[in-house]
Amino acid sequence: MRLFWISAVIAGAGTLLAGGGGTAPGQGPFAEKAALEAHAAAVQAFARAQGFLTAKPTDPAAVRPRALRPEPSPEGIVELPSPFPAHEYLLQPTGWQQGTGSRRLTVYPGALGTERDRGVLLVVTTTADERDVESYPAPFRNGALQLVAATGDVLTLRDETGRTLSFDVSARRFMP
Amino acid sequence: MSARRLVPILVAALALASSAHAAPLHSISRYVANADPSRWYDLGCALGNAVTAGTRPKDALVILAFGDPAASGGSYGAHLFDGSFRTTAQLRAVAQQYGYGYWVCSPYDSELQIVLGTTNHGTHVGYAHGAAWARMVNATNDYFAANCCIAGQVSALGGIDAELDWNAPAVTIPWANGYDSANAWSYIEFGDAAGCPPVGSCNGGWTYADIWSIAWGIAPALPLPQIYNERGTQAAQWENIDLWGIASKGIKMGFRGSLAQHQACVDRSDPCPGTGNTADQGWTQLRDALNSRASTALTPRWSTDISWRN
Repeated sequence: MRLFWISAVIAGAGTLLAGGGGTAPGQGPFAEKAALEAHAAAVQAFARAQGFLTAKPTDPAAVRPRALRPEPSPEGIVELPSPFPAHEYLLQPTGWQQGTGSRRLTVYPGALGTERDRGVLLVVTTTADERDVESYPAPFRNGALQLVAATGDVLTLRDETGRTLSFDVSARRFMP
Repeated sequence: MSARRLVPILVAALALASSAHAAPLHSISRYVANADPSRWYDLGCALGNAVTAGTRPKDALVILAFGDPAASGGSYGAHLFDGSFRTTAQLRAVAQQYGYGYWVCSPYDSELQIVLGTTNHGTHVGYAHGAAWARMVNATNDYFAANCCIAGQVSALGGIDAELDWNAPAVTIPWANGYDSANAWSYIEFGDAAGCPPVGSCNGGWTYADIWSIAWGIAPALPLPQIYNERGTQAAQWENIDLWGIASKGIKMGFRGSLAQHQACVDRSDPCPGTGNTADQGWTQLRDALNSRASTALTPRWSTDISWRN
């Protein structure tokens, strides 16, 4: 089956490859790339042919899956992806989080994307209707901040020189 | 004005018009912070209804950005944006219900590609995770094919937001090779080329060859880069990478579209100074950069903008 698709590609599926206008070497990753696209098109065409004989549900609510019981987000020191591009904020994969009712407070340590020697903490408040981002630059230009420990909502951080400092999340300020 | 003087102006105007397609309607991609499949059924259905209303494209690509690669208790998965760990089976349920909701509520002649996206951020990026991600995408498409007739309109692709500052190529490219070891479907690379010319030199020890590989050279890779910069810098960076590929490998990149973050900026009331391109602006910048030379000329298919809401 796979050979069939690759043969079809070599026979002239260059337009599939680069959205029109690409040149397709007849072997290696580019043949496989075009074969993947041809495979996707074939799966779609087969299902579309079936689809003409099948009516969709008339009541979307009737086929909606049952809602899961809401789970609280993890708290304390947690692994966090970065919802900011690296050229804005270069954030560490470990941050801190606290939930209160439907409100979630997340602290991301890292550095400014444009000034790597300037550490920063981002404090993000998330509710059902709101996302608020506050930025707290480190008091010294000693590189990215890393989270070391948390006691209550006082965070212990370390910069790239090894210097430790604390941040009081409630007060939103660095402490000596 | 004489007819002789008008002719070149008309010819130039016609040439411009023929290359200047308007930006397509854009979709909303999402940073996933909620793993309840019923919520994703609702969001898929809402997209289908918007397609019916003509406010979203009939041919759409949506990135579900699931966060960083992760592993726990012998299972692969991702750390979502609420900090929770979810297995690939749980992520698959999200994508399946998003696709199903879309199928139920959308017109028959519409089409949706769902990108199950991860990142190269964090400590669990690697070959084994890439292979597990490909198997998750395969299984999602198996569900669409097995449940008549979702696959006629909806398909799932893998995805990675590969940002040069997050991890080195020695860590990131193995993820793509792992994906390539187990995949039946392509993946979308929706990352950046930070620092690369015309700005300076590429960040994080990445070379043009590395970026070209992860975004296009590895068999399942399809590029749909972040085009956030309002001055067109990112579009110019990708045009340069494309030119490098043509010169070095003899083949141009097949850009599938562009990603903006305008909606994410709106969601967090952030002006995103300098990086707040709308989806239309991002797509147009990429289209214009690629069409500045005949060798790279291409009209990208999709335009999408990412949101924090779900």
